[in-house]
Amino acid sequence: MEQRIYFLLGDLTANISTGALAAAVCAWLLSDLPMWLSMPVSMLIGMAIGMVLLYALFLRLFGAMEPMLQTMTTGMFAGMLAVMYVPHGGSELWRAAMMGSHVGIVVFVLIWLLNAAISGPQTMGRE
Amino acid sequence: MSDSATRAKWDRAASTFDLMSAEGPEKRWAPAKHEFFSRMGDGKILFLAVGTGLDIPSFPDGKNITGIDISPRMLEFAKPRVAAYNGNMDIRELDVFDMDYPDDHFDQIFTSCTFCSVPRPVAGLECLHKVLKPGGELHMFEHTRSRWFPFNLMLNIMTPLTSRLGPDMNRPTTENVRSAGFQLDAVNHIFLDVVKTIHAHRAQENGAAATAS
Repeated sequence: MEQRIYFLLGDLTANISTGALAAAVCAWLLSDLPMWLSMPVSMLIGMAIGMVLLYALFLRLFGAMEPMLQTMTTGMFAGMLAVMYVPHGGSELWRAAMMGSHVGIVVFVLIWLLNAAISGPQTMGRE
Repeated sequence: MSDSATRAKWDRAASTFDLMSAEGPEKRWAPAKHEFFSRMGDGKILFLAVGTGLDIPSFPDGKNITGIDISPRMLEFAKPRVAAYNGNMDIRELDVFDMDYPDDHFDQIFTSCTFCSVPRPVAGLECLHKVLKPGGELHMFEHTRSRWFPFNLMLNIMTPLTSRLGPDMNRPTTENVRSAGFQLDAVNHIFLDVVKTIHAHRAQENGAAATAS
């Protein structure tokens, strides 16, 4: 289980910035679309933003699988929540970014707790 | 994918491999890898998929290691790290499917982020099973698929993209180890259920017969 401050702060920074960007972009692009369409599209866009930021920046700084799964999760949920709760596009981008950054914090905490629960020796062969 | 295509893929990746992997991923995994490679014993060791040799600094000193890799470009980058290793290490350009070692040759086999990329992974593991001595050990540091949403969804979505450039993200490697005939000893999760070490061994001959039945 990760306990080094550099990587913990790195994961947190990656999640907050990915969440803010994904939520703002999705609110900007998709908030005028009908909900049934904007939700799945925003999840995909949010994941894509997480992946782009990972390969552009976070992978070289903080690791591969760890920031990847966290930022893609953050991007997916931040994008989806942005189009659900920030319906007025451009005028609300700051609000969307703030909400996305909070999603990043929540995802960081939940994944850290999940990892703490399941890291270490396992019942063999379950994956 | 043919083996020549796999070789070409990793040759293309060689020049940027360290740029992407040498800092963040290796530093993050360094403590786990040091613990993982500390299992290296005093017999003949096969290290599959040397790559650019990023794992070599984690090897304990004084071991007798044969390293192979399908990509000659990767091995060019690995040479300085091999030369710096304080032990006996030889590297060869060799595909796991073309291994020419005698049966029952190695005491231990180690892999590190390898079976996310080997085409036909169960057949590749069967090749390892063949060159490992009965009772010999297989130790793997791998990333695999996840059982849990949303990670399983993401890994499945990413695999068609990443497999063109490098690894698959959704391999059931633990199950593949079993399918290839190894006896599973332990699985240790490093990050979620995705990054893990897998420890197995080749059964003694009478044990293998019992398993097959």
